[in-house]
Amino acid sequence: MSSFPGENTDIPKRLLEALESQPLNHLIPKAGLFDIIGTTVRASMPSDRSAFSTPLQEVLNQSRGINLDPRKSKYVFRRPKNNITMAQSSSTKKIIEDLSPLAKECLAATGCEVNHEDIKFRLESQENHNL
Amino acid sequence: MSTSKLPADVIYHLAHEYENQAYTNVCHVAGEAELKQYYTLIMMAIKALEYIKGHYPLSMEQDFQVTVELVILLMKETHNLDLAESYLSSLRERLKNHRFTAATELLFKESMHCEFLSLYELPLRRNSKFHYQIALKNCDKLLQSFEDVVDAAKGNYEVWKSVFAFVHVNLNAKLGKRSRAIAGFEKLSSEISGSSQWQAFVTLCHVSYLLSYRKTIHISILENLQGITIDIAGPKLYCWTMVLQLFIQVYEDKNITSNLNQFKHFFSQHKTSLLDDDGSCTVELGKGINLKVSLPPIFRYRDLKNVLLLLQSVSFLVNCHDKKANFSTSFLPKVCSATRKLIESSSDSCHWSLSDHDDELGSYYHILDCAEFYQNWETFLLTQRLKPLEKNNNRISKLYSALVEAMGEQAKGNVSTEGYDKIIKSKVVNEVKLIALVNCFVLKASEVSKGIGKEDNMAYCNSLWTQMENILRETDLWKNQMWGCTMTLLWLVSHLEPFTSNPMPSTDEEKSQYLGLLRNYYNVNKIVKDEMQDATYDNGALKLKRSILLQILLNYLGGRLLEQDLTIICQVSGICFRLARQQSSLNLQYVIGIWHLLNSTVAMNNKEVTIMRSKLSGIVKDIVSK
Repeated sequence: MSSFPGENTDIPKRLLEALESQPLNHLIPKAGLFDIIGTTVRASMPSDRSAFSTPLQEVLNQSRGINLDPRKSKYVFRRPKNNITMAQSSSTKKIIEDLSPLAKECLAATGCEVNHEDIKFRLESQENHNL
Repeated sequence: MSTSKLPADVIYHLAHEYENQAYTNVCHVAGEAELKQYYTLIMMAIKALEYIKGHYPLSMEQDFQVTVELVILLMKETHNLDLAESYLSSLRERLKNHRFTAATELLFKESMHCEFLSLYELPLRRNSKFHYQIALKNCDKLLQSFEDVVDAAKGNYEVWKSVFAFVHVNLNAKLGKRSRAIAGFEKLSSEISGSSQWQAFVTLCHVSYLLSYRKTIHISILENLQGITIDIAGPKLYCWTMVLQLFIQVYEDKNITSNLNQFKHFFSQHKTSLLDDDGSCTVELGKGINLKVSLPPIFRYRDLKNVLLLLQSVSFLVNCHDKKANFSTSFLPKVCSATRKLIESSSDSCHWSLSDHDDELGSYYHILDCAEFYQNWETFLLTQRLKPLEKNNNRISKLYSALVEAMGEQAKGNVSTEGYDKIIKSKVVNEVKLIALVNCFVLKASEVSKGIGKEDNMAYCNSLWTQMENILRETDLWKNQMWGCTMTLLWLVSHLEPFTSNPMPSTDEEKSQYLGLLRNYYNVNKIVKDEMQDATYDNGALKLKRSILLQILLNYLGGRLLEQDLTIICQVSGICFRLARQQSSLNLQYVIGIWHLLNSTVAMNNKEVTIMRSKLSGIVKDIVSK
């Protein structure tokens, strides 16, 4: 062949050099894919709930509750990591409304409420040795 | 009735009423106000259970029930895990004392349940190295105590022993002691007692563990997996089996048609057993011993369908250029929209805790991240452009941001290996490191070809090659033929004259070994078939996915090194050039085009020579003006 297009240019003539600007993208990475199932397997041991009997409805309809915790113990609750703004906030349903009269009374008599600062992502003391 | 003397049964009922009320309203928890209400209900449930413990004389059975429920609530909903632990350990003491007077089967079962909570469930919630280590030590002791039992009441002891051997393996896994966990799984599988459903469950966990770390799954384990039938395992665990088998095929880049048919067949008969519930199933280990296994992405039809769609997309991704097989192009957007719908409707019908709901949302967001990542990769395959990942803290971005950035730069023509070098030196998962190594190798080997820093770069290439071989051996990737073929091609292009100006030194033995490999891959995957072929070669083992790039490279090398007949060579180079035109790399088009021009000239195909000259002139113009 007398001459060919690009002969005297610095355009690579060898395959290896032509691959310089061609990342090998046919090797599809799959790391992380298994996490769609791998991180969620959880086993627990179910227990049967038979040691107590079911009370009569009329007992639950009574409206004189008791204070379940005069000491007012506090707990630190788990704050969800994934933002929970999917449902419409406008439908602010009072989720404690449907309780039985007795449950409502006990709630009132116990007089405890959970506050913003009682719901945390993690405890400060956990920071150090968490994996 | 006097208010101060509500019976224990009533208070117990109240605890459940509060809990139920909270769980049925998880879907309404949309902001801080509802969050407070939710936790107020949970708090009342906790207080009611504590009240029962403090104010009533309880039978051992009642004590056990109340305490375990209290511990579970504290674990799931609060950070008060020390409190949960102290409840558990005092319950354990009471059970022990009780067993001196009445060594019943029920009491033994309750003690074991107690151990399961404190050695497995509680450490998992704590998720700290410190607590895993303590649990591991205690689990060792417990397993030892089983050994000491002389065959009295043997049946049950053996099952419990395998339960805690399972816990032991999981604790090692959580501590990152992978080889111990793997050895533990093997031992457990070989000497497990209990029902065949329990054995199936352990096999599924074993295979899942190996897959999650991309370890080779040995033939005996694969046989265990294949041995799992719907009769033994039940429909949900059987689904899990099929999903793992599908994962294995996807990881090896093999054809998944028969896997998909298996699902189709299964759904036609058993779809109803995967209807929307909380995504769990019960595994019966032995008489009266059950485990509740929760795996919503697989155990619920609507989730499973979405997972299958994502896996199909990944499997077909390299075909995205092919109008007849570009399933990823239509499936990935479907995965995104279906997942968004699942997020919106998540928990609507469910009855579970906010933390379970939170985990579920987390796994949906991960699916979305995956789908977006693969859409980005699809664009990369089609256009050579790779968009950098958004910098956020999700798993996908942690895994891939550096790699995506380095590859994106390379695709733009930046030949510096800095980005890849950083990944290679850092602690990343094997697969990501391997991809960085292989691209870095090309860049460095290409410098060798150009005669730049020859000695140093050659030495560097050798060290990269050794690392690549080590990682391939360490992982399951040695079974993946896309990788096997790529390695073969890269060795040849860096060691043989026609492809590099400065071949790296090699022995005749090595040359013939790699040429042999090339011949095998080429014979099965060549684009110009001869008539008498196929019968011997079409066994499928070396069949590759139809990636354009890999087809060009394999057939270019095969055409130059293995074909003798000029007519066939011209056909190969013609098809390779047409394929290369679909790839946007101009340099690659040029090299393949020159080859085809040369072949056409030798074959005296004047028409083709004229066409190729004009096409090549165009390519040259495009490269120069770039």
